[in-house]
Amino acid sequence: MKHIHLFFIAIIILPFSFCTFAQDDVSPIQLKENIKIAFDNFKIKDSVSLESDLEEEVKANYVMNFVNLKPEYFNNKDKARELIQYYSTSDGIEEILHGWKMQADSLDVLLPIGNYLFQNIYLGSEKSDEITRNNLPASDANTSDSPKSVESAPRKPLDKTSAEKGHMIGKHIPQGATQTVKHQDVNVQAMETKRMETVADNHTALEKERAVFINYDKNERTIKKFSPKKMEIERLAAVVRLQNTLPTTDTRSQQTVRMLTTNTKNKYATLIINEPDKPEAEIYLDGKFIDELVKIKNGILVRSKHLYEYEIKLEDAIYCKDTITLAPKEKKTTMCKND
Amino acid sequence: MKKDIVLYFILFVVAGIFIYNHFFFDPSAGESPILTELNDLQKETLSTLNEMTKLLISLSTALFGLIGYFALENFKSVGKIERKYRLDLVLAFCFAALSIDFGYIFMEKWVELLSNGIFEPYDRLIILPQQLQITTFLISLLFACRLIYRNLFKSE
Repeated sequence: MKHIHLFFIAIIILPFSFCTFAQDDVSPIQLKENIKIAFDNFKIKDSVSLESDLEEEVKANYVMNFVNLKPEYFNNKDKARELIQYYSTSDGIEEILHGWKMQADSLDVLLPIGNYLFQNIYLGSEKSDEITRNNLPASDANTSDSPKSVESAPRKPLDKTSAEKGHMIGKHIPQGATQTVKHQDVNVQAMETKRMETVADNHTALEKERAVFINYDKNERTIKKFSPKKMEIERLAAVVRLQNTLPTTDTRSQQTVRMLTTNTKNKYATLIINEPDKPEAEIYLDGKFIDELVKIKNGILVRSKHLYEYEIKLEDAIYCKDTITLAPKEKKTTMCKND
Repeated sequence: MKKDIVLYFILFVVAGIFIYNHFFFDPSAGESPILTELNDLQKETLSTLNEMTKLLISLSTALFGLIGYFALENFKSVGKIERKYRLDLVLAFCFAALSIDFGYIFMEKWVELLSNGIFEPYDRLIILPQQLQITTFLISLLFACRLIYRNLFKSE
């Protein structure tokens, strides 16, 4: 009874401490720890050496994009929730890192890892399991074998060991390399070959999808060439464009110059919209009236890392509408395009 | 012993609220246009709000003194603070302290708003501490009155 106050300290103060971390399935500390583990494994397994600055940027980009992910952004929310949960684990992060590296190798462009993560969850939650399992370990991908895809698949030699590890994306091994794998049972070998071919098919399909929406903004003809489902691809491209509005610290993929404001907390950012320059133009953020455009030349203080839907109304009619997310302390001037 | 535990519990809840206020309570201000300077009307509003907060802080501090006086009187007459008054005393003290703290938080959040160039007197960032300040002051006043009444009329 003498130290009863310690008991009360534990009861009162600890819940306050925990309540800040219990909002998500994984705490930020745990996520960072998992990222660290995944990076260590990735560097060892893939013999990759990253500059410390770049590594920190990639980690920060992953964390920033991960915390913004919500199952509500995807059609198949349950699957998306499952994938988000998976990509918070060290295994999931490691898988993203492998895929991201392969994508960078094949496209010769270093895209933000956050975008790759988003694409993976999008494809994983909206497309068939076959495509999703492209990035899962080979043992899991095995369950998605289909005879049709095996028969129609162009034959691609794949290294068995890398396939087993789940590193099947884009690895071109010299012809005959599979012969080094010695199987006593020929049937087992045939099944194994089929499985790897299916994985290759899935990979090809995924790469096509990626190519489609990466090239979407550059050339609409690409869409027609790759996929007949134009509407779906348009939606996909819109989602990717939205994701691209998320800030990236990756200097190689940086497309817009960001300005940062001082004397403000990290949780705020500044949004500036200057057009249309008409006195009756009004701006709404998430449906809430903010002010007339002519009166907000200094911008609007908004929450950072928050997905805003803004619309500009002219005489009660919507002039334009778009979504935006700003980074901490970011000061961004955006153009609202008239649809 | 049971009453002591209750008193300890109250004290630690209040301590928890203090800690929460200063280390965890951090909502974001709502979206608002950024201003470069306040107009006369806004300056007047800000001044009035400040006066209101300062008034409540002063009243809470005065209440502290009043409660302390009655506690001291009781101590002088009996040689200790009687058990029957302890709960009122502790609650009145705690709520007065909370009222002062919420006033401080209210001003702190105003600084946050103004330093970001926005003026929103009804933003949730400041409306919550503002309302809690007056609420806790009134609760404190209630317990203080109860304490004084029981002390003066020596009721059970």
